[in-house]
Amino acid sequence: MKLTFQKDSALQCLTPLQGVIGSKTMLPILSHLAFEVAGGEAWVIGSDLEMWIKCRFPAKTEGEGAITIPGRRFISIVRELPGQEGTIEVKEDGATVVKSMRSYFKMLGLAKDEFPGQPDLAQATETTISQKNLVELIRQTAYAAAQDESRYTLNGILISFSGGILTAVATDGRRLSMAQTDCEMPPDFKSDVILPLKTVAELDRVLKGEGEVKIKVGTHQVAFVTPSVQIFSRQIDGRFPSYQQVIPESSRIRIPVPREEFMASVKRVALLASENSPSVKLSFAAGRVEITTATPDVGEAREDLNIEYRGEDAEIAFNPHFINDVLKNLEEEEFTLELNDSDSPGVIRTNGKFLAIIMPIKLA
Amino acid sequence: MSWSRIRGQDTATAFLRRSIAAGQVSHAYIFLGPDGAGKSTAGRIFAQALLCREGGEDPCGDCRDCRLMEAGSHPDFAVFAPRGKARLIKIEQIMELQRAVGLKSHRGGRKIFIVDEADSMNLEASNRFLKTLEEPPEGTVLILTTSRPERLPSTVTSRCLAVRFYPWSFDLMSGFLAERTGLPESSYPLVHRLAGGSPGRALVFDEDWARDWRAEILDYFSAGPPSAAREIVSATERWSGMIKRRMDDLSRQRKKDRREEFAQADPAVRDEIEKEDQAWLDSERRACLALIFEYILSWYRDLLLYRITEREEVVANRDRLDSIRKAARVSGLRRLREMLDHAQTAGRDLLNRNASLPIVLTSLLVRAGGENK
Ligand SMILES: [Zn+2]
Repeated sequence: MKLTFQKDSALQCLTPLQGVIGSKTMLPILSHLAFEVAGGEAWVIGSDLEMWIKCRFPAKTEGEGAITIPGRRFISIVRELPGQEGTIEVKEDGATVVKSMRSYFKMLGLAKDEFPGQPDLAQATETTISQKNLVELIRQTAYAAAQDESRYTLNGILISFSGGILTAVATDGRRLSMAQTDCEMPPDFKSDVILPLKTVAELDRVLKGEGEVKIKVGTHQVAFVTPSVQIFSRQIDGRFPSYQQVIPESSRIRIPVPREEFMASVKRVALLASENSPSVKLSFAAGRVEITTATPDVGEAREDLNIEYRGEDAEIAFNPHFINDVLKNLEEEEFTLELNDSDSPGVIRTNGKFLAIIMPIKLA
Repeated sequence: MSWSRIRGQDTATAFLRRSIAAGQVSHAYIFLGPDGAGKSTAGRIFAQALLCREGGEDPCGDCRDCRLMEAGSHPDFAVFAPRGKARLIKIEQIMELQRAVGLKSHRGGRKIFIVDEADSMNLEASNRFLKTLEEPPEGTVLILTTSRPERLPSTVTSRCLAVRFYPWSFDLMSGFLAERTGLPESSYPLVHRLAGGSPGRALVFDEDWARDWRAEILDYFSAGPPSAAREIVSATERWSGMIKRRMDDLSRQRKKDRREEFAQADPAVRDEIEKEDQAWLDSERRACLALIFEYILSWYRDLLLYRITEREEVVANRDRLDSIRKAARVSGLRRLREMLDHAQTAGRDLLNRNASLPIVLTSLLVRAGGENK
C-alpha cells in the first residue's frame, strides 16, 4: 500500500485530528492514527474513545490496507517535510515509511486490531442541515451548558429532531438557551440526542464549509458527516430535563431593545460589578432604560439608553455575563425582553427561532 | 484474560462467575483484600466477561470486544488508579470518571469502570464519587478495589456489594516470590509473615532499601553485637539515619506529586491536604520502625528456635545459618528468651507509645551487647 500526497492539503486534513490524539489516556494505541485505504480512497482516523474523527486523506493511492502510526510524530513529520510532495508506504515487516525528497522516516505501527473502530451507524436515521446553520445553533446555546455538573445530562446540548425542525437546548440550571432551525429529516422522525460539550467544540472547529452536513442519529452514537470529515460521537446517557415547563407561557411586559447598544452599555456598567456575584440592575420606564450597579467598597456605575417602550415601569437584576453570552451570539439588531416581575425569569427572544431564559438576581 | 490468572481466590471468582451466569450483576462492587491478591485483575476479567459477545462466564478471548479489552482500548471500559508515588486519586480523575459514566455505551451494552485502591481518593474526590454511586445510569458497573476499606467513608462502602479476597497461603506466596523476586528462599517465611499474606506488600522486601536494611541489621548481630558505647551509639545513629533518609525520599516525592494540586487548592483544602500528607507519612514511618524491629526479632527468634530444636528448617534467616549456629551455641536459653522479650517490648513502646527511637534502640543494643562484655 502506497500513498502519494501534497504537504499542504495533507496538513489541512490532519488538523481536526489533533483534538483527539492521545489527549485522554496513556494508552499507546490512542496516540496513533489509523489509515484505511480502499477503493482508491484513503481515510485517516483518530479516537479518544469518546469521539472518532475520520478525515479523507487527499492522496493518490496504490494498493489497499489498514495501518496505525504514531499520530503526533506523523503530523510533525508532515509539517516539517522538505518537499511539497511526500509518500507513505507500508513495508513487508509492517513498518510505515514516509519519504519526501531526501528525507526518510520509518515508524512502527501497532496492530490495527487494537484500534477501536468508529461506531457502526448503518442503521441510523439520516438528516441533513447546512453546516452554517448547525454551527450557529451550537454557538447560540453551548455557553449555557453546565461544565462539570454531577447531573451529567446538563454537561451537553440537547439536539432534538421533530417535524422537520432541529431544536438545540442547553441549561446549567440558572439560564437556558434554545435555538431552532429547519432540518431535512424523514417525515415522522423524532429523536432526542444529548451531545457532549467536547463534541460540540469539535463541530464548531471543524465545520467551516459552505455545504451541508448529514447528521446520522443512532441509538447510542451520532455522526456528523461531510464529504471530507466525519465526526462520530457518543451520546450523553439519560433524559434531558423537560425544559418546556420553565418557558413562561405569557409575559406581562414586552420591551424592544437595540441589541448592540444595550450589550455595550451593560458591559461598561459591569466593570464595577462585584467579581464574585456580579449583578446589574435594569430599570425600565417609558422611553428609557437605566442600567446600574453598586458594589460595596468598589463603587457604582450608571448608564441610560433610549428605547421604544411605552409600558409600565419595571425593575430587574441579572448577571451581566449571562446577558452578554446570549447577546453576543445573536445577529439581530433588536430583541424583545419579556418580564413578569423582578423575581421571575427574564426571557430574551428574537424572530421566533431563538429564546433565552435568565434567572434574575434578587434586588438589593 | 481468563479466571485461571487469579490464584488462591476460589470463593471470590466462583461468586463473580455465578453472578454472570445468573445474570445478577450489581451496579457497584467493592473488592476487599490484601494488595496483590488479584482484585484488580479479577475486576478486568469480570469486565471482559460482561462485555464479551459470547456472554458466558468465561470471556471467549476471541471476539472483537475481548480483543479490545486485552489491548486495553475497549470504549466501554476504563480504570482509574492512584497516580504518582504519592498514590492519590484526585478529584480531576473522578470528574473524568463521571463524564465517562454519563456517556451512553459504545455498543449499547454495559459500561464498566474500575477504581483501583479506591481508598486513595481524598475527601473531595470521594464526596464527588458518591454522587455517581448514588444514581449511576442503567448498565453501569462500578468496581472499587481496596486493601484498606476503613479509610473509605461508609457512605461509599455501604452502597457496594462486597467481594472478599483473602491473604495468600505460604505455599502460594513461596511460588510467587520464587517467580517474581530475587529474595533468598530462606527469607520466604519472614516475608510471608511481614507482608501479611499480601503478594503486593511482599514485593517491598525485594526493593534495594529493604535489602540494605536487613543486611545492615543482621550484620550487626551476626558479628556479635558490640558492647562499647561508641559502637552502640554509632549503630543507633546509622539506623535512625536510614529511616530519616527513607522518610525524606517519600516526603519529597509526595510533595512533588501534589505540588499542582496544592497550588490550585484554596486555603481550607490546603490544610486538609497537609493533614492527609502528614498522616500518610506517619503511617509510612511506623511501617519503617516495624520493619527494623521485625528484622531484630527475626534474629532472636531464629537463635531461640535453633537453640531448642537444633533444626535448620525452623530458621527464617536461612542465608545466615552459619552465624545463627555459632551464636546459638554460646547463648543461654534464658538469656535468649529475655532478649526476645526486650526486643518485643521495645518495638511495642515505639509503635504504640511513640517512645523516642534513639533511647529505645540504645537501651536494647546495650542489653544485646551485654553478653560480649
Ligand atoms: Zn469474547
